[in-house]
Order: sequence, then structure tokens, then C-alpha cells
Amino acid sequence: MIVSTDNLEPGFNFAYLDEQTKRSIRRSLLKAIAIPGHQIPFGSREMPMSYGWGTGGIQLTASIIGKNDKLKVIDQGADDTTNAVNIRRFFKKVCGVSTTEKTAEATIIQTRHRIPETPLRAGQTMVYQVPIPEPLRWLEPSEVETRKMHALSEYGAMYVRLYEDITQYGYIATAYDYPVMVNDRYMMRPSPIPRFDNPKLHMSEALQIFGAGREKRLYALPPYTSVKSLDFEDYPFTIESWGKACEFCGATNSYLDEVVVDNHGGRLWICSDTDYCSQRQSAQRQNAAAVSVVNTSSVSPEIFKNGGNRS
Amino acid sequence: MVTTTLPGFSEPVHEAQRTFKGLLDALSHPGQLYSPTVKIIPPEGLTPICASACLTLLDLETIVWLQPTLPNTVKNWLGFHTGCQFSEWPQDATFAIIGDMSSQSSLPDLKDFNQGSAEDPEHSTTMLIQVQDFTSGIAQRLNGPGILESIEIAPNLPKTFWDQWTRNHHTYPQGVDCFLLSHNTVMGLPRTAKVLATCPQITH
Repeated sequence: MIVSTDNLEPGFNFAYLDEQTKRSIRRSLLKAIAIPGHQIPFGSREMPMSYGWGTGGIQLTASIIGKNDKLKVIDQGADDTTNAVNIRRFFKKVCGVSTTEKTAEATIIQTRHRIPETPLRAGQTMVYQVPIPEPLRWLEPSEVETRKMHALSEYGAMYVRLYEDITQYGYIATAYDYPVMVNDRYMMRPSPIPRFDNPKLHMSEALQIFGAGREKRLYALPPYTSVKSLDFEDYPFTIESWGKACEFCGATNSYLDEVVVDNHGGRLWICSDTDYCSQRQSAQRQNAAAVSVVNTSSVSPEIFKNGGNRS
Repeated sequence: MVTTTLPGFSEPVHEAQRTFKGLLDALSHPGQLYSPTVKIIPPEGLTPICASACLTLLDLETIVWLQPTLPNTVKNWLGFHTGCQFSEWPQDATFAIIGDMSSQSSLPDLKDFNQGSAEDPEHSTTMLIQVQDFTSGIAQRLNGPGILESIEIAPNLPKTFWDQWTRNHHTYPQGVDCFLLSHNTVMGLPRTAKVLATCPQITH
């Protein structure tokens, strides 16, 4: 594939980061894969955008991306929101790589808080933008202590938190950033994906890497790794359901966003994954076109005549 | 110390990226073979893929342990191109380069290398081990993260390595990680890779 270098911003190394930084991130990434779910400190650099806009994910993407990669960036499932558009444009500028909105075509998918509905395949890499990597942070503010808790697999406090949910609400109310156990050893924060997406982490064919720029931590899930959402025998893990269908494509199996449409409480539900939704819509249009062709060709002259008489 | 006259990567940015992608894929799919295409003239004692891996991963932040049987050309070449530090103590090493597993007398046990600590298991040594091939050794069946069900491998490694590897796996999350490197192919062996069984010798 020929990469056009015309649009490349001059004065930067390929993928913005200098080679020394890439090497140190790459070394940490390899260790992260060898210890799935374990958070590894890395020398997070200042990026040309503020913390909270995905600097961790961007640094990981910059360390792995090559000139033949195809990049997709999503923000809450959508390809066309500010964060996604800007990150895509950033990598176009500093790498000259081609980008796509189609999940199936991408080799690297950088995401903020969703996993695409289209199943990931082997060879793809998911890069998650992570605000707070430490699952135990709201239970134990001290980093010294949480590191000890991970070393000792001391995770009882999290079960108590989930149990308190059950006593207060009657069910586990955690809706996003739902804690998981990786490879039966480390507790991990899956970044703020809805718990609807948690089952997709388990035994995924794709490599999944997580970067937190402000907190300077990265972690990884190799393909085919067991990822179990925490639950209790009598309160098993469940995912959200809406009892609605997407207004545009009619999907009932995808994550739906609720949209308020007027001042009278009117609302509708649409797919959060824009690529999945638009692919379903175009498939439906094609089917409809094919069906109408079939219908006109199969209409017998008598029926046509009767239809004519009716008017 | 004689400065090497051999060049490093001809395209440092892209060849390092390609090599890293190969190493990343290899470690996330233990037991599978990857051959990133890189043109490189390695120093005497290193294979092309091992030399590429060194240029990709080593720099002035890393401490390297070299197997004493490796010729001096390796040390000179690495020192010039990467600026890495060297240590004679396996315990200090962030990376260990092993040219030949069969000369056991010059090799410490895997457990003598840095194992990392309970809180920082990532501080352990990464081993770059050169092997003759991936077919003529003792066949082993592995499973673990990165492997769907199980995979059978037979890299040319002595039996003592696999005894040490089983102990290495049992100390998880501590322990070393290995890259097995032939002439231009790499296989990853992270500490999570568990030996299920030593398979009967395959007869071809």
C-alpha cells in the first residue's frame, strides 16, 4: 500500500512520539501482556491535547501504529463526535495512515467507553482510553495500599461494595466501569464501558490494551483471556436491557442511547454504535430494493389488472 | 572496546515498529511463529531477528546481561547502537541475551534472573533466547492467555529449560518472559504459558 506523505505535518517524528518514548512504552506493553490485568507505570508524555481527552490511548496507539495500519476511533460508540474526529485527524497528520469508520476494516480501534457491536477478529487491536485505572481507588485512596492489595489478591472490599448495592437497591447497580477479574488473578477496571460490553472482553479474539495518560498506567488483555465480571452465586452478573428497538435500524441486541426529542417528554432509543447502525440500515435498504424488484417482476398480469380495476 | 562498523536499521522508525509488532503478536499468541520483515546485518553471534529485537527494545534505560559465550562483537554492536548498560549479574538484568542454550555451564537458572517483586512483577528480566529451529526439540503442549484451548510447540531447547519453565510459571505473577528467536522467526513465551504435558516425541 502506498502511503501519501503529502498531508504529513512536517517537523514531527512518525506518530508524534520520539523513538525513546515509544521504546519505553513498548517495553511496558510487552510486560502488560505477560501479566494480564496488572497495571504498569509508564512515562506518560505531554500530548498536544489535555488530559481527559484520551492521551493515554493516543500514546499507546502511537507506539504500536505502522504506516500500513487502518485506524478507527470511536467516542461512546460514535465515529463522528469531536473527540473521535480530532484523534483520527491527529493520526492522519502525524502518520499519514488511512482511517475508516468500519469496524471490520480497522486494524487498530481506539475507543472511548464502548466496544463495537460487530465482533472483533484476530489481528485487530483495541486501544481503550482510561480515566482512572485503579479499580480499588474509591475504596482505598492510597496507591501504596492498593498496590499491596493487588499483590495479595486482597479484593474482598470490592465484593462488599457490590453487596452494599444489593442491600440498598436489591440488585448490583454498577452500570459502567464494572470490575472484572482477569485470568483469575488481577482485578481490573475495564475503563468506563457500560457493563453491557463486559461479556465482549471475555476470550476476545483481539488484543486489548488500556492506557491512562494522567495516571501514567497501562494494562492489557491478550486474546483468549478469561475476563469474569464480579458477581455472587445468587446475584449473577446481568447486562442491561431496554425492551426497545433502535429507532433507525430496529436492532434489539445493541446498546441503545436514550434521546429526548421534544419538551413534552417524547424520547426515542438509538444504537450507540453508529457504524453498526448505519451498516444495518444500508443492508435493510438493499434488501428492500431487492424485495421491491422481486415484487414487481413476480406480479402476475391478472393481479395487476385487478389492482388497476380497484381504482 | 572496538567500535562496530556494522550499521543498525536502515529505516529506524518503521523497522523498529515492524519488529515490535512481531514481538507484540508473538507474546500475545504464545507458541505461534511471527517473521517481521527487516533488512539488517547482525553482528557475529546474533541472528537477524534477535539483532532487530535488540535495536527495538534496548536503550540507555535498560541493563543487559549477555551470555559469556557470546563474542565481543555483540557487546560492541549493542553498546554503539543502543547505548544500553551491561551487567554480569543476572539479577540486575532487564534483558538477557542468550546465544546458545546448549552450553549449560555458562547459563544461570531462570530463577537466578530478576523475578520482579509481588508488587512490581513487571520488573522481571525479559529473555531473548536464540534457538536453532522450532521443530526439532521436545514437544510441549501449552495453554494460557493468548492460546485458544492449547497449542503444541517443539522449539530446540534442552529438557532442563522446561523443568525451569514449569517452576517459573508456578511463581506467577512473578517470573521471567522469553522470546525464542531463530534466524528470522520469533515465538513468544510469556510467564502465563503453562506446560500441560510433555508430548511423546513426534516422528516425522
